[in-house]
Amino acid sequence: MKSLSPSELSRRLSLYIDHQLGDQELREVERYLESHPDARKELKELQGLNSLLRAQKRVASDGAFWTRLSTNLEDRLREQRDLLPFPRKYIPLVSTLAVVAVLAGGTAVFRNRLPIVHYLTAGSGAVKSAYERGILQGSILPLLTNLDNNQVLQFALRGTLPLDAKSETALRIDESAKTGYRIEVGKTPHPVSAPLTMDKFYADIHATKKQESTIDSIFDLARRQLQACVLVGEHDEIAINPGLPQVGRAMVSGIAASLEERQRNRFGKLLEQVDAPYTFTSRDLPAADPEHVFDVIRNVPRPDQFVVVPPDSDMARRIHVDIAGVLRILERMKSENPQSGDFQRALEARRARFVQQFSRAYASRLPGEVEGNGTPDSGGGESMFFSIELHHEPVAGFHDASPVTVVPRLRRMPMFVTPLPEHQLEPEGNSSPSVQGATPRVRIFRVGPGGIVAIEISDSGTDVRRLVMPPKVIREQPETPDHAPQVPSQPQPR
Amino acid sequence: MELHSFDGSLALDPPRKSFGAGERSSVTSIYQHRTRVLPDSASIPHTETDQSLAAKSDEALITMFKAGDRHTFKLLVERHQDRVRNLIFSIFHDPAVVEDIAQEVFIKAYEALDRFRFESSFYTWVYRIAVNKSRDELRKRKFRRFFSFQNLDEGIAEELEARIAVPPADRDTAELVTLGLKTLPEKFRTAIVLKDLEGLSYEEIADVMQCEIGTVKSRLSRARAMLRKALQPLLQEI
Repeated sequence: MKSLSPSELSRRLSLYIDHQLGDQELREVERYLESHPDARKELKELQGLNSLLRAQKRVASDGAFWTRLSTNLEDRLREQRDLLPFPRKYIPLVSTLAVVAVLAGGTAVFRNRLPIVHYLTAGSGAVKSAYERGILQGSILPLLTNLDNNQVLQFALRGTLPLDAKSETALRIDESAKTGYRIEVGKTPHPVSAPLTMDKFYADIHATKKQESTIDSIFDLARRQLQACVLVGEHDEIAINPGLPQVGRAMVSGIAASLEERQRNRFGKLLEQVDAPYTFTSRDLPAADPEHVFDVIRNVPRPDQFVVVPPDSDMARRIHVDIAGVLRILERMKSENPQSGDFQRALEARRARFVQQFSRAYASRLPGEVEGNGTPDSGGGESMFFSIELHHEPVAGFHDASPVTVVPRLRRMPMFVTPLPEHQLEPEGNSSPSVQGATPRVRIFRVGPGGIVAIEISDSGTDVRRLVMPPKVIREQPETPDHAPQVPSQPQPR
Repeated sequence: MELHSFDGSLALDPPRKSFGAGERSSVTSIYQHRTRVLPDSASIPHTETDQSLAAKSDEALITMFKAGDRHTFKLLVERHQDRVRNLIFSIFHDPAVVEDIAQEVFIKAYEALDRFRFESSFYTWVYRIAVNKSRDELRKRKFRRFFSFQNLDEGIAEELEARIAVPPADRDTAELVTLGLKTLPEKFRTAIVLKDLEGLSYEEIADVMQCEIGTVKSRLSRARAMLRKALQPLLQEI
């Protein structure tokens, strides 16, 4: 019998100890156990775990429980009796008073509606919604709260945002005119190219002081948008807003619009040199009004649904998050916290923990055995990442409003290396059945030396299906030519 | 109604709906020292002797309850209170919480029993209420911690890691298992508690957790894998 993946083995052994396997599967598992010492060891540990759990302390019987409960029930019944109908002659009076009270209350609420709405959304909307769906549980916070202008520039020009101090873990975006966006989080074993700096950027495009000031403002606005696009949850789930790539587009458009024609040409050449994900088509326009540029950045379309990927499961969902509410709370926390240094350090610690935990948990969920110590880059030097592929969403209004038309450009070094044609993906043995009539709008790939797990989710957030592609199939994929246009592919170490 | 607690200070009506940690001890002290207003059976009448009722099934007792014989509820509580209290204890590992939530569970059961449709057994039904109440409490706790950045690095997983690293002779196995359970997300923890501690079948767990049996299998498998990983050093010595 062929080797089982760790998750499949755990599933079968769990059913085995609960006597839930059918005859044939039982025989298969027993044969497997005979020939696999590791599986026997796991079974022994599971049985040991079972014994430990059964031996757990129990609460002592409580003879007075009913006495206290009956007291509580009496009180509850009495409360209900206290609400006995009052004499009917008072009904008109009470009704009138109730109407007056409702009108007065309604007027007060209407006059103070904005503060009330702000209070309610800041306090609970986002979190409640996430809790109810059981995905983004516990505290959530924006992951990208400490970006500096150089990093924002890196995103605008290269589509990459570092998630750790050494830029080993990064978030990347790429876009194809045909298929849509890919947003990818992962590790690369090789360092990225030399970082870009604002000073060098301004020198390269020969920006005037006034233009520098405008572009600085663009970056400030873009930083806020980026902050609102990536969240991390208490259990190290990552939540990404599908509108993230639009921020990059809007920045390129805004920078280009702020420049004069010759500077704009230099900017265009710079985009070529750094192999940027975007370029712009209209180069002979006069410089745009900065306020218009700022408005475009402020109004980058961000859907209120985030794609949430937990690190320790193959689940993915789209959920609503009131990000404005979350950011308001964060700002309030910052302003109310007298020791802002401690607060910032706490944020940094949380971010560092996320990167470490996500990488570790993510690696352990990859199909097949991950050799080495379980860290993502321990599998023979291959990069490991997950990638979210999103179909193009209607953002025509946004593109029309952009002062300069921005388009995806063909990159010399493709960000993604392996196309994943659907017909080559075989459903995993225990995969969820396809949901009839549900169109996959988001595909998530987890890629590593053990193979690829693909998850497709529909518009409604339904988990459409899970598929596994073993490493053999990946190796048999033809390599994508460097200039192959518009093919969804996977990242290459750069 | 005004109630006076043991020290003579004024207390409001029993704050049943509040689970704030600070309120629990005061609630208990009020109940322990106050004078009962009505005897047990004053408003919960019964028609048969306790002995004959004790021989009846849960379903028969519920049928009598729905017909107006409220006294039968006492027997249902006495039959199932230990299991419910144990379930809540296994989820929270906090004896202070068990009393409050168990009381809430049975009050809710009393209020809803007239609508019981005999589609499941009474104990899986009351377990479901217990799981939902526990989930509410966990949410409230998490909500209170929302954006609380204190002690970020002092999580349960780290505590478990530190405690499991001590020499085997100094370990408290039960405590380590408790910590291990606490590291699991709520859905996984509830599934493994219902199966391995409470001994429910897959079908019963699906009924209690209101999910498909396939989901139960998956949650159990993952809960065990996570717990096994967390308690690895301990299990290797068994």
